[in-house]
Amino acid sequence: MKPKKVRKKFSYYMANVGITGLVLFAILPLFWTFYVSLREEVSITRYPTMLTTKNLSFLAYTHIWRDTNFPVLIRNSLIVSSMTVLLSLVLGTAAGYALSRAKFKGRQGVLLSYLVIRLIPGVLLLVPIYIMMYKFHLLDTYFGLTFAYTTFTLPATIWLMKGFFDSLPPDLENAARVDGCSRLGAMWRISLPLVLPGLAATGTLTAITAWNDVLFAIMLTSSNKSRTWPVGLREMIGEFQLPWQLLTATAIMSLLPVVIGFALVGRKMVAGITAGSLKE
Amino acid sequence: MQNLISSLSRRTFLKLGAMTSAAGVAGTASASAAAAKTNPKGSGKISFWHHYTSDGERAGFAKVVDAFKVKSPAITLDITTVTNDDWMTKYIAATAAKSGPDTLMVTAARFKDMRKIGGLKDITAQVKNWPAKDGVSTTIGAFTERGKSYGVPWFTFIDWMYYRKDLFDAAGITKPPATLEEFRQTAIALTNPSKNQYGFAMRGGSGGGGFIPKMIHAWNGPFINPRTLLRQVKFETVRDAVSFWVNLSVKDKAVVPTVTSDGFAQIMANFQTGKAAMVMHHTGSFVQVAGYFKYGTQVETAAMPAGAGASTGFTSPLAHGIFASTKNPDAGFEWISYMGEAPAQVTFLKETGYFPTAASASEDAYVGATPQYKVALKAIGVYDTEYTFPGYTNWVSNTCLPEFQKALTGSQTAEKAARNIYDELGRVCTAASKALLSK
Repeated sequence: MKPKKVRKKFSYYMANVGITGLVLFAILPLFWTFYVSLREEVSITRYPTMLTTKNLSFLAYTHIWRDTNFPVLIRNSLIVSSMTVLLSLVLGTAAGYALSRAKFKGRQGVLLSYLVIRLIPGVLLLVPIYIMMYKFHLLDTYFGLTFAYTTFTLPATIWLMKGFFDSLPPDLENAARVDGCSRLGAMWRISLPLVLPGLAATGTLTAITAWNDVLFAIMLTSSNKSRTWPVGLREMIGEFQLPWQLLTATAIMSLLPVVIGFALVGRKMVAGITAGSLKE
Repeated sequence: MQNLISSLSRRTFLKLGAMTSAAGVAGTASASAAAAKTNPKGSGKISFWHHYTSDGERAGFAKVVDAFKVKSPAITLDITTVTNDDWMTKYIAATAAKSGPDTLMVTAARFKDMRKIGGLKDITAQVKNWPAKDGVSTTIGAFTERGKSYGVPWFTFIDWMYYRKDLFDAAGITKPPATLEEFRQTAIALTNPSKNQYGFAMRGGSGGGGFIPKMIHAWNGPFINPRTLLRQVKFETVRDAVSFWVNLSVKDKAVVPTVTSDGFAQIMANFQTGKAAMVMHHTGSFVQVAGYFKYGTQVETAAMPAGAGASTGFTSPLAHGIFASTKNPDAGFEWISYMGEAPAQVTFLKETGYFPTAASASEDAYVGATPQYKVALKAIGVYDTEYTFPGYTNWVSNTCLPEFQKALTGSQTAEKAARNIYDELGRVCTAASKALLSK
């Protein structure tokens, strides 16, 4: 075999080894979480790292689904995350577009002020936000949580969307305007379809933030009316108990909507990127 | 739709945006007003915050709630779980917003901080008229400040020790250690690293800082003046206490080697697997331990070993208080006083092992028929109540624990750890004393 071919084959195998390693690195914790969720609690406590196929069952899953309020909490999480994504994208896209296209005095200041908001740790705003939500009777409501999350996701959304709009040449919109489109029409018809991948990516990041938050969910909710799943997960951990089987089963179940969401949005993102009009 | 959008001018677009925002605000305001109308205060509905998370706690509490509903059908309870770790954050926010629950749990360790923040209502007058008040006279003091009561005791954690009777029998040890020196000798005798067996499951991870004040207390007796809140212990005593505790691991090697990362779950797992022969906790884990072992043959309870100054053990009562801004204090007191009496407390004890504070509960048939509780019953009135003063929990978590851990890992000496713990205690006490005097 020629040395060039050998080198190519070697590189090919090494690349596969590397990819396999990375995949295992990412999947093993998930696999272990799933494996623990199938084991009995006594076995987990006594032999935490033992590998066994004895007495594995889906009892924890059926228990969580039937006997706990977990399905309600997942529903709440889905509602709050969707509302946050919607609100953040609507406001963030409009603001990002304006900051990208409009040249006005103090534009940099506005952008920087959004960045400064991102730099403030959420925990510092807990008490003021709690008081505000109380005054507006928004404690323990979907809207209360959505507004609180949007406070933190909006600056990032604006910055990201501004970046996506910046990458589009204004000439595309100018051409549309010459053909009779208004500015808003040009944005809606020309720019927005081109930044769909960006919208998908930003929406995903926003959804993850809202989906995983525990701090604000604990503070701003007090009943199953609006409580989200991370709060339910946290409530399982007691001072004198750590029910690994239930915790891991809950974690796996709460991953499912995210995995499904990623699978759907991921395709959109890739399709959007590869179908970019500027490449033609 | 597209035609409509394309026909909009910028000015029209801005107008529409402003109108939409205004409509949103108006909608929120009207929803708020409606919410306010549909939630009248003082109607017999009272809210309650607790931090029960385990199945046993929830089951026991549900029984108590059911019994209360029968006794007081006019009162409706709205119960909320607030996890222990997030308790103070939510309490502070609720106090600032004057939006807390009508009633809530108050642990002895947090009482002074919660009182200082201002969310607790003075219930002295109501306690005075409560027929069962004499039954909680030994524990209500933990929730009293300057003669004013802020909580009705509910249960108390009484420190005790679990020991593996089977391992003791195998080693020919006939009785649990009574003093700290005996405890040390027993731990050394039960240690056999070749069998992966150690004398003691020491807590050096999460929650491990709490053993430092216990040790100082055991060496010195009360180390804070209860009247002035000033420190009343010499450095040498603190040094000896901290050194003893650290050296069980560093010099005697009689504790499970993973000590620096062992929290509650780990020490109990070490105890269950036979990796450790003794573990210190309190009555709160009684039911859990019963799930793994048979009392009498495999495992037993024992009093905490005594030091030169006092016992190592504390009692840590927990009470229920009324929130300062409640609109329904009478219903609130009916609820919390119900839980202050023996029937509710014994119901809860059976599910959780959390020991009652009502004196008459000790005469209950269930308590009498459970021999392990003799240790707890003896401890009441002998053990001191866990310290509670502003800054105490912070000192335990942020000074005692890290200094103790540094000594365990060998990155500093036990004496240096003791010095830092002692100095910080002085600062905390001085601040607490000044705050007390300035009132």
